[in-house]
Amino acid sequence: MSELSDIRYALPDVKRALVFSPHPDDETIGCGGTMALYADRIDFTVVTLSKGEAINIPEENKGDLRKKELVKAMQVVGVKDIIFLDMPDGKFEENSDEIGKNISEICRRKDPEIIFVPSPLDPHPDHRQTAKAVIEYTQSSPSLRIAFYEVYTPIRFNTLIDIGRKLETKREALSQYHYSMLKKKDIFISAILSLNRFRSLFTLEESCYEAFFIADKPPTLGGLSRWMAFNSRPESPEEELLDTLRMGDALLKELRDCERNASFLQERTLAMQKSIDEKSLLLSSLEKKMTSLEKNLFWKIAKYLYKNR
Amino acid sequence: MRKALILTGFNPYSVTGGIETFTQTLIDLLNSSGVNPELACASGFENAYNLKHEFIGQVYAAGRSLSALPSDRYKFILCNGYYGGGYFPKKFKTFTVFHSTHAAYAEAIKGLVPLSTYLEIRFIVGELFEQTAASGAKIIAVSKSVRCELERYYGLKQVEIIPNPIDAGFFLRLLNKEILRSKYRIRHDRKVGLFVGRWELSKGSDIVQNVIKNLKNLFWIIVTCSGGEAPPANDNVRVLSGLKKEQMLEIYNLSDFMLFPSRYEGFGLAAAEAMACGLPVIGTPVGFLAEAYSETPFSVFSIPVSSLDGDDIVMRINDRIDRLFHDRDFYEEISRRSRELIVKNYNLTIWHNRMKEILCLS
Repeated sequence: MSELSDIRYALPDVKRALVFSPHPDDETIGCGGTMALYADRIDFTVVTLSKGEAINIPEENKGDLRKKELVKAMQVVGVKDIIFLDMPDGKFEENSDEIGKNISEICRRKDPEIIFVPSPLDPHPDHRQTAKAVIEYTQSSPSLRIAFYEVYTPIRFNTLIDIGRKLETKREALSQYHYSMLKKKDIFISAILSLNRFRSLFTLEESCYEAFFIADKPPTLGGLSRWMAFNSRPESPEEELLDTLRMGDALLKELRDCERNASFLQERTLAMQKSIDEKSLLLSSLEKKMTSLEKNLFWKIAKYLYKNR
Repeated sequence: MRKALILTGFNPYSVTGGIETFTQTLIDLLNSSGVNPELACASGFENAYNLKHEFIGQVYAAGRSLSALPSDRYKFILCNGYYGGGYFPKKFKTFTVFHSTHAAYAEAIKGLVPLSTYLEIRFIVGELFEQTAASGAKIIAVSKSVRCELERYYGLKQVEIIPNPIDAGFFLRLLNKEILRSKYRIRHDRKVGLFVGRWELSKGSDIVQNVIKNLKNLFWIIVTCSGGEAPPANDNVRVLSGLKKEQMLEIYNLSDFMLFPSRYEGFGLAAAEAMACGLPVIGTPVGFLAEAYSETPFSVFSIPVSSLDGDDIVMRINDRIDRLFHDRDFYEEISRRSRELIVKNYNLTIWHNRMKEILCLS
């Protein structure tokens, strides 16, 4: 429990956040209270990777039903911006390239300062794949923060957000998920809010908390998994080398891009300076002509006539 | 037949360079010692781990591929410096030959290249790959200077020095300079300066260019190796590339001196080959030249690396050229002693014996 003193109780000071949700309901389970709490300060965009059509219920159009539930839940939470990627539910690993491309494109468009994503140790393979894809993307964006949230397993965290004031909002948002929660939403909601309640063990306050591990710089998958498992899983030397290599490689790529941009801007500045110099020369020559014209007798007569016309 | 693996960067039969020449010589040695050499070239591997830097990814993948092999597959593995960077931890008995250290190389070119290039060479190739290539291996340095660098930058102390081999039986002083000049259509009455290496700043390409521009009485032959940029065209310059060993022998022998203003070398194979052919070398005290230039009469031809960026560098080089050609007897003595130095310290036989001993070859 020695790390208790290091727990943070607020999100970093950011303006734009992306919440990656593998299926409708994951976002509300993991960070519904936090979104409701910060909705007036942070622009949240919820990106739902699949409609969750592989759910085990007899209804037709299961995916569409779940989509509608998500829209309603987000209305409760106060998030208007929702993106549906419609990736095939349960097949994220097979579609990892496509998912990677989508994440990259959305991040470029939305320019988030923090990304929320399920923990890479979550029992659901789609959740783990989502975390992996986000981690891979962020290797080339070293300044991007990632907040890992809980869905089906409690995680080792470094941030607790007190959602006590928004607990009823979260409950209401969760209750929009009738089909997503297998028509047993009472059990789901009770379990989810109990986890939030359980986190009060760390604060000894009468409240409920959503727990996150917020990485201030992109972690590697191996490094993060080890940290979350309290370093109990020894890393192989090969993995350790690869992790270090990947980090260095990504940082250098970013530096190379910056150098290219700087060089491009320098060239443009030089071209603009050249153009300014040319125009200055032209101006100076026109001024000289003007001065000599002003000294000209005809000009003086013309000026006199114009004045006294 | 016992097998050994050579883990290297490029196919030594399609790429020209010091490491590739070394690899070819090593293959010959292994074949003649009853060991069947196999080659693993990083350039032939896929960047399977999707690193942004393609070749770094290939080097890692090449090394990593060895962990899947049964541990009795090879008698030993020999890595050429950082090309063994992904081969970690070691599974086989391993020798890592350092032809240079990239940490020292990076420091030598700092400020001449973009920051990202410096950092990549210093930390990814140097600190990371070279240290992992060394870890768990018997370490061989090709010169005293490389051994010093291994200790200075990576704290490696158990390092054996086995200088690179020069086939002094092949690289000889030929007595048909005029015939060779006619063959390459170069006037007999001109002084010919030679530069051999990649055309890049680390090799002192800027210095050579400056000298060519300012000393117009000389004719120049530039022999470029794989990689690097293209040298600029000039009336008094002949640019050659992709030359075979036999052609190099002719070029060394038709030239009057070699200019070797390199900012960094691990060994400096071209300079050693030139000296074996009796060609005087005016250059910087880098690689084996650091030792050679510490002795008279060679010391007078040394140009300090620190002076390369000075305004008077052309004058300094011109001064050494003048001294070389001022007296025919002096030139002949330098030529003779250059060859003697190589035969005595860097001959192929010496290298054969040392390598056989260290690799436990019969």
